[in-house]
Amino acid sequence: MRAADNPFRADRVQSLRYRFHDGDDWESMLARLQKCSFRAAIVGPEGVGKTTLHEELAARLEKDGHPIRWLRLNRENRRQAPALIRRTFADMTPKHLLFIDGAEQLGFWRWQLIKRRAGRLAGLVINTHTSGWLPTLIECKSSVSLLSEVAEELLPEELRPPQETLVSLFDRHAGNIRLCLRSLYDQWASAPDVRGQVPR
Amino acid sequence: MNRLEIEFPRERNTFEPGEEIDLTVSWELEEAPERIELRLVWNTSGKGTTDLEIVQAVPFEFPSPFETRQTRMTLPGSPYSFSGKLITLQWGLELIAFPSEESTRREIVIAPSGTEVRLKSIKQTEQVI
Repeated sequence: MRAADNPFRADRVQSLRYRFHDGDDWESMLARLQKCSFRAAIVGPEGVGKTTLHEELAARLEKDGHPIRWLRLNRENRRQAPALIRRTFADMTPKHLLFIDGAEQLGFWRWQLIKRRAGRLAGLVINTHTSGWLPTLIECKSSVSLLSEVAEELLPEELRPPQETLVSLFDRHAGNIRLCLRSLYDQWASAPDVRGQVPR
Repeated sequence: MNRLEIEFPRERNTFEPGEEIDLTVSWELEEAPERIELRLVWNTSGKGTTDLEIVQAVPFEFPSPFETRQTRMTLPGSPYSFSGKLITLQWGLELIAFPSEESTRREIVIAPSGTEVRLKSIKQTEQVI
């Protein structure tokens, strides 16, 4: 199958919206964020939608007039963290909210330094794998039903994989939905051409 | 309701690299746009990050809300449209109204003999050799 016809191609996966669970929603989450003075953490393991939620939150707050500055950290750029931090703080005003993606890449002292400097800002919202950094705003969880919902959104009913396939994928990738979707991409890449059957 | 359209010569959407094409664009918008732009772009799509490049942009100055205009565009010599299992490179023409950013896109193929280059897996290539 052509990469552009693959229903699990990156641009389609990236356009998925975050799905709240356990009756949570935007309204309650924003109320919690306000209650903790815009200093909070989105917590959860890898590949469960933390960054997706973080980006959607940023878009909402920016729309409401809050200026946001991002600091994006990952395994590849963690060595450049001091320079990235310097650059991020360089032109921030007290009105800015600092959003840190991948805060777990920061060491203890660097995190303490950021936390202190961010005290002068309007807010600090991070996403990280473990709790305890800042008050937990939300805990992102993974489940087979979440994987199933995502597959339902990406595929028409007649092409959806059976539940057993999803369960086995979920187990193989220890609940990392992003990796499950990449595996589904590979499965579809080897499938015969189904152009026209998958929504673009 | 707003409408933006791009028409190709003789409804062709496959072209040779470097070919010169005449295009007709039209729009019907509820509010007069500040400007309209026709863009020739390519983007990648597939398993990895999407790349996008605007190769040419033709501005249509002082547009009225309802209009049809013609333009000529020389297509670039590369990159060719290609597709494999991991990545597809697609060419497209986009007509965008500003400031609303209402737009339409039509995909085209730019490749020798007008056929998208199909990338084969290493296994398939070895079989051919």
